Amino acid sequence: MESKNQFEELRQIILADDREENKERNERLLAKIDALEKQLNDPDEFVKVLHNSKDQVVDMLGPHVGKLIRKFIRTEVERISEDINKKSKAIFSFDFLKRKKKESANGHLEQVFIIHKDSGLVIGEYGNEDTLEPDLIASMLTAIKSFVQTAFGDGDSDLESLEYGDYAILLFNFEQFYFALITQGIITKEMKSLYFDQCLELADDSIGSMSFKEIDDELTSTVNEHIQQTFFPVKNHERNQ
Amino acid sequence: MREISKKIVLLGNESVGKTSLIKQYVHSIFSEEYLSTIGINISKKSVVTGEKTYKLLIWDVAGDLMNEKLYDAYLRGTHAFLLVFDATREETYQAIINEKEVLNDYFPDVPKLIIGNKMDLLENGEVAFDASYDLLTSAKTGQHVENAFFDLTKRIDDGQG
Repeated sequence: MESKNQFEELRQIILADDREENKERNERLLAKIDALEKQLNDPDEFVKVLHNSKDQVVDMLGPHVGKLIRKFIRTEVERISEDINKKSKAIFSFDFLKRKKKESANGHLEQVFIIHKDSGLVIGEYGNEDTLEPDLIASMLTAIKSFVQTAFGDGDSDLESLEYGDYAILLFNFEQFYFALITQGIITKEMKSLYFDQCLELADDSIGSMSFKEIDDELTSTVNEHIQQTFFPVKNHERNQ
Repeated sequence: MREISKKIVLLGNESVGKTSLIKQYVHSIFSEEYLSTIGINISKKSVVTGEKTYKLLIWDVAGDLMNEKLYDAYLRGTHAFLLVFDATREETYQAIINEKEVLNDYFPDVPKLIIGNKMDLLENGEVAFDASYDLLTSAKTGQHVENAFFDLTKRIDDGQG
């Protein structure tokens, strides 16, 4: 028992200086951590501090954790600081803000065309807003499709979409006709898949059995109604109210 | 009145006046010039015959379009051809006759109307070389241009090849 007390006294004497030194280190470390915490609200400043202070952070922690971990900490501090740097740049970049704005605008269907594949004549068309010249648009779209298919196609492939700014035209091809869906905003894969299913449904149930030998206003009027019921049922409901 | 849509293709060498015919006598046009990359312009014209209105979508194919496959692709689904030559240049007539022979093979039942444009430049109103055509027109004065579209529409209506 006595020897144990003596040993404790001896330990106190020998380590007194070390304890004092460690206490000071700990205080400095806590002060640094406090300063870093304050900087967290300002990512740019935080990144600067972290970059500039990584050696000090490692030096402060080093005596406590040993050489092997020291190297690990240096690497990790560098990685974290780079990561934060990238994120802070992304958060405040123009592209990021633009992307967020675009994502926030829900993608939706503006207009649906069913176009005779060979002649480019409009079989049916319906949309949220009246297009000035659906006939000219359908013919020009057909010409562009022919051009792309001839210039770049291998015979089996076909043009699937056209994009301009916030708008896209999705094209779904069938035997005698093709669908051209004019969309605005971001269209997810799920939405595209749903649109395709709707096209399939319309083609199988109503349009596919029709004859397009002569495309007249009676035919287009019937097809327009089918398009409206399939793709714009909400609007149909609103109109009935 | 019943309205029927039809695709018309306008063919002819460069500078025979196809675009001039279109510019002044159609109801709406996609662009005033050929879309240079794809070599085509499209316009719309309505023609009334009897109890029917025909909505003609006119595909004006560039005279110097060299790509044969593309040329074929543009002709698919055509309901009538308007073949235009320059009534003052024999070579443009020969080109249109050759074209008509080829079209007769691929589109035997599709109406084809041959018109000689620039009749305002003819002396005594007569073509100076042997030529067989349906109409002479002048895009400049407008003479017979409406007739050309009407005749073509009548042929579609009558089902004449």
